[in-house]
Amino acid sequence: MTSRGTAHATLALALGGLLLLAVHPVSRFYPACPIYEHFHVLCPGCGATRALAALLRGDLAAAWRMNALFLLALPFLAWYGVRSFRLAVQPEPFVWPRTSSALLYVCASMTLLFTVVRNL
Amino acid sequence: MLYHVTRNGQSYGPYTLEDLSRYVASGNIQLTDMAKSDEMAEWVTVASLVNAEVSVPPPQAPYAPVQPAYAAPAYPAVGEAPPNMNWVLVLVLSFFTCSIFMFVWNLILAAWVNRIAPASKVLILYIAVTVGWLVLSIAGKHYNVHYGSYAHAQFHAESASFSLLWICWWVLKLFARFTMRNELERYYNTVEPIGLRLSGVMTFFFGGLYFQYHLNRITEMKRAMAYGAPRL
Repeated sequence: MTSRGTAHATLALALGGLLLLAVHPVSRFYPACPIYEHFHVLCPGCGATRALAALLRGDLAAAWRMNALFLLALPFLAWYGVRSFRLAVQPEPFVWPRTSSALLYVCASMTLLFTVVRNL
Repeated sequence: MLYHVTRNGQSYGPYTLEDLSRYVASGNIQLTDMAKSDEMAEWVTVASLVNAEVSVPPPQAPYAPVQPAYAAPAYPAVGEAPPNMNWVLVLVLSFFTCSIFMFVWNLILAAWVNRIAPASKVLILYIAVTVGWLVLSIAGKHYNVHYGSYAHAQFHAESASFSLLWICWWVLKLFARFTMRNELERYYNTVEPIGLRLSGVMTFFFGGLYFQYHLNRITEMKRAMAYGAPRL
């Protein structure tokens, strides 16, 4: 499959997922966090699906309670996704968008700090 | 003159020589990709075109031997560039997806290894690891929901067999990791001989994340080579 085909398939999958989440915010078929299942520790991603579902309902406060860091990171994740999609549909061979290493180290540190704090 | 670029059977372009140089610098096009214009009879590496552009020889003194300061780098016919997402971003995205993204990224890496080394079993192993993880996770969820109704002895027996299945899965996962490590070392010491050495301990603990760190390093090294191609 070409990078353009993969990009369109990924976009369709993402939009389908969002639609499903908007229609069925809660379902036992949604994947459970493997880290929480095994170690009973809240990982940084725990609550992200529920936060996204709350956001789709327009309930910002609930989304914040579910996973504040995910809510803060969402604009950046969306930006990276859109940028990747735009690069993938161009006729040139695909490369992932470059990101500042310093910014990523800050993100990783904040994520670790968030994990510690939410498990206190 | 306009050039078409081909990689793994897919064709891109046409591009001008200036476009080619720009895309090589940005990493979209590799020096090892093949290129051809309508006027050319054979496909040549992009490296030969880009180097030809920058290597206009300076005027030489009469009868002076032409001694280039550096030997032109040799670019063997190699496979496509590795996935270049920053390893820290892979880590952050894995954090945000409760580690699910790591499974996806491992599959992307395995698919790439399968393209550069089609005889390897890396992709099959990683698919088996992912499917195994999905099956055990779903079964575990079902098991956790219903174990309350089990008789005490039956619970212990099922718990032990379930743990054994997870141990088997971990063994398979480690086998997949070390197979990928061997394939990467083989590729980067034969087809692209850059002398890659991967630590067994780091492979054991970090797997795909550790490989991605090295692939980032290799990509940066190639980009630096593209920028700093010696001018003869």
